[in-house]
Amino acid sequence: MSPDLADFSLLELFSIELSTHCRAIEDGLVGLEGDPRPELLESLMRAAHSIKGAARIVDLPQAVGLAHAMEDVFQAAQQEGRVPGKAQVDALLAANDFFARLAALAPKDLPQALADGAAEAAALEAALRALPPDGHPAGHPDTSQAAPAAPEGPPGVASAALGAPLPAQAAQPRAAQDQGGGQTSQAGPDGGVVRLSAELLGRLMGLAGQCIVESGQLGRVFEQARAQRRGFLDLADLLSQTRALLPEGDAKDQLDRAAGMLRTMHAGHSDSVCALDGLARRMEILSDKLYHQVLGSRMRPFGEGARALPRLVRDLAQELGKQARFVLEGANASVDRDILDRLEAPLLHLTRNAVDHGLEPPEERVRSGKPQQGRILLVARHVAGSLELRLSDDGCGIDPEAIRASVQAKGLAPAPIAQRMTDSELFEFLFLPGFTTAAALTSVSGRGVGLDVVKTVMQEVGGQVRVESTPGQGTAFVMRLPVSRSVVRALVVRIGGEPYAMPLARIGRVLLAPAEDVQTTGGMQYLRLDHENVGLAQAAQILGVPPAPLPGNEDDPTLPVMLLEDRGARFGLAVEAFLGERDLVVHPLDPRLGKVPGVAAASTLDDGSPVLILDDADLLRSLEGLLAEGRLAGVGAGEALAPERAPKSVLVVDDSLTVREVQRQLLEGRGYRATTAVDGMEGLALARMGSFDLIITDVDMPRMTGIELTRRIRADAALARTPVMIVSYKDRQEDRMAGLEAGADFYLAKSGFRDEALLQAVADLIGEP
Amino acid sequence: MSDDGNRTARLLYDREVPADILEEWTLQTAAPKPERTAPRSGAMLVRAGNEWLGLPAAMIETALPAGPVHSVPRLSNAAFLGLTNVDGELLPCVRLSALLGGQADPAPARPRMVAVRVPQGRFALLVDEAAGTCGYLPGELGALPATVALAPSPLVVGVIELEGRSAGLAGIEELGAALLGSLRP
Repeated sequence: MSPDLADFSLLELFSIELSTHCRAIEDGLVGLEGDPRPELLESLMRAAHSIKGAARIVDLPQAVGLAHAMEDVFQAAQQEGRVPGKAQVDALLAANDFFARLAALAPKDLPQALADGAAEAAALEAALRALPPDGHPAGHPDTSQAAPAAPEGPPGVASAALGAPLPAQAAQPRAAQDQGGGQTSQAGPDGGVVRLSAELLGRLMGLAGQCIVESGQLGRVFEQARAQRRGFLDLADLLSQTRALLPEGDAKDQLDRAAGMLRTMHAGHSDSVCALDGLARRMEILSDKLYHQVLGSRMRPFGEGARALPRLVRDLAQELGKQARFVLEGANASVDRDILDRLEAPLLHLTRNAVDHGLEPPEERVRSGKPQQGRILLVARHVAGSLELRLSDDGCGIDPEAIRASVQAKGLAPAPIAQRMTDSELFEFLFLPGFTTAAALTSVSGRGVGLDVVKTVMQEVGGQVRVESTPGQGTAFVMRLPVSRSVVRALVVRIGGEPYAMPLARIGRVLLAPAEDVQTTGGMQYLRLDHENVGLAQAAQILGVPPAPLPGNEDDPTLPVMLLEDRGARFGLAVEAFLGERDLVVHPLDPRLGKVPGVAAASTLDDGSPVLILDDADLLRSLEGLLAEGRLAGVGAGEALAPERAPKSVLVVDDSLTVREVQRQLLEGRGYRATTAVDGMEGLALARMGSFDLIITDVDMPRMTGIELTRRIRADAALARTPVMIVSYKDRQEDRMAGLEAGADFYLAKSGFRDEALLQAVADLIGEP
Repeated sequence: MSDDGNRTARLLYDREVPADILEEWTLQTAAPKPERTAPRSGAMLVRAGNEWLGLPAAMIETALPAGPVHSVPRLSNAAFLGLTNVDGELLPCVRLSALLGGQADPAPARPRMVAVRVPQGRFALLVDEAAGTCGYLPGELGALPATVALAPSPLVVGVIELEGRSAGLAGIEELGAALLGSLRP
């Protein structure tokens, strides 16, 4: 091996070690400010010491010097039984940042970067050495820092306030955990780190899963072999009966020999069956272990993705003259590593916003009766196969009325529409590019800057984001993300003769409805339940699969129904049978299939056969649309009502109920036939099913944007010639260009949205109804 | 495993080889090998309806008994049947006979799922029969009948003699494009 190569791998190790220790030091230092115990210094000193030692091995003298200075500061503080003061912490963080920047470089560039940064390193080192020990006695937090969280909660909570997410994860144990985790980049005693391609990991998962299926088969073989025992016993009985009938002599001796052989064979068979049983059990346990190990290797604790936030909150609050502490709950919620990487930018952005625009200055907080110190809380938890992140602050909140006024003032929507918008529809405007920049709204100013970026990232990873806010009490951004490859507990049902699964948490209730409880009113079916009528739909129709005949309509006239709940509304989804509950490992749908309406993911059942996991939000949206338009076929009825050939039909795609309804009423008032869809995905599915003369779409929609919808329509041979009109709040030149480049025939800004303008544009494109 | 079992196994594997079998193998091993001028290529011979097709060995991953296929709402069609489990992964399953535009065997005796890897990713090909892999000399690749070569997207790039049968040889690129195309509604 050439010396170059050897050096290279050492540098690589140094880089990995550097990033680990930098993280430990940063977490530890920020944690010290909230929980000033000198004992915590021990791990920090060791981290600095390790950097020094490693830097010496790879011969980087500048790094040795700086790490040595850091170590000395930690050591001095520890010997004096105090924690470093604010100035010292700042200097230590600055030095640590220098190392963090190094760790981010390619390992082979390190020597050059250090040579270039020698002056900076020397300055940082000098700053560290020059500082007076301005710490304070142990146990008494620096009052100028004014960060004691103690008045607000028990000591345990206070210790978790800054830096560390949980009391159990204060700086020292956390560093230790990292060492033992084995998943993060370590060069510790646990051994090296191997990078696997996502595809390879996927195949390993598949193979491990198949091992479970096959070892289950082994168990069935064992059952079969054991059942053969009966035959041996019957044969032995038959032989002894025959023997009794035979006279003494050769025949009887022969028979005795046969009986002896049978006994030996029986014993041998029993041994084999026992051995098979043991083997089957061991294989089952082993393959189960293997599977869970592989499954776990994709997942990382969410806390790893939120490492930078405590420091960000600290620095930013200091800069803005505010007081804030950051609390993380659910640091251990596991997330797929790919998703975790994508989350970094949106989380940083939202956290920065919360400190900058959410939290009030301390005096103002005191005036409104809040604790001086603001709190930014990030909660991660798993909700039915998705990861829910809730980033909330206890700041000034956002006033929906202020947004309504601004929407009207900016002419983004006509007054009648704006007046009818719900709070959540109003909050959606915050995600428009540049929504607040020109607005005279102090309470929300700046909120809009960059939020469109957050929304874009969420859409890219297949997630959603929404805002909840109470004026004066705070704001929360709630993000729902898929946790690919995680395990969900689901109810397996039969639809169209095939198994489908619905995550249990999405099901409000499951029931076998007696036929007499199903009523038809105005062409739609309802289920009489708890003195309430619940709309009923056939799952096969919503999915668009041919329905299989419903089970035994004569002798067992009950209907298996899953009740889904959504913002207070309840819908019944009729299936063909309940097949049972299962834990399913979520496989993302093959990306080559694109988005399949109503289907979120796929999985395999115990016997290895495929099952599709339903997307309840998707189904509800389709169901809502179908109910609104009365296109639902009766449960058990043969087929969907054929849509009548009406004048000219227009498909309206918009995620705002208000806009959708206003457009529908406008068009129908003029005599067009209008059908609505709630997003691009549903729009595309409807467009492919029906024949429309025109498609009108919004741009910003969950799951599939209007731009993507337009592109897909243009790419579809059957739809390519259908005119598309985009109606959007986005009125910038580049937005128009994006729409027209995607293939739209007309771009109408909602700010210029007047009844006549829309109808005129429709008439221009497809003529009068 | 019991001692009995081990003894039986030893009896089976350690037994004397009969002289005539030994002689036959010795002759076969000692015989001069036929000279090979060009490297041979391999192909798996599969049947789709009444048509035989050679799939280049480079794209074959495994051939399995046909397992259950789950249809995909709004996407499944005559060629793309749905998703099937191949070694724990759910792959799009495509019926080869429909892809070729021919008639499927209504009740094949030994249907096989052939997992293939093409530049467009992995697919499970449902064939009516798989007759195993055999070699051919690339130089023996015959030209296509004009009618096939003129068809809009011929999957077949040449004709080869395999096991005494004349079979079309699928092009990896061509087959991959057709497979991906079948996933679009």
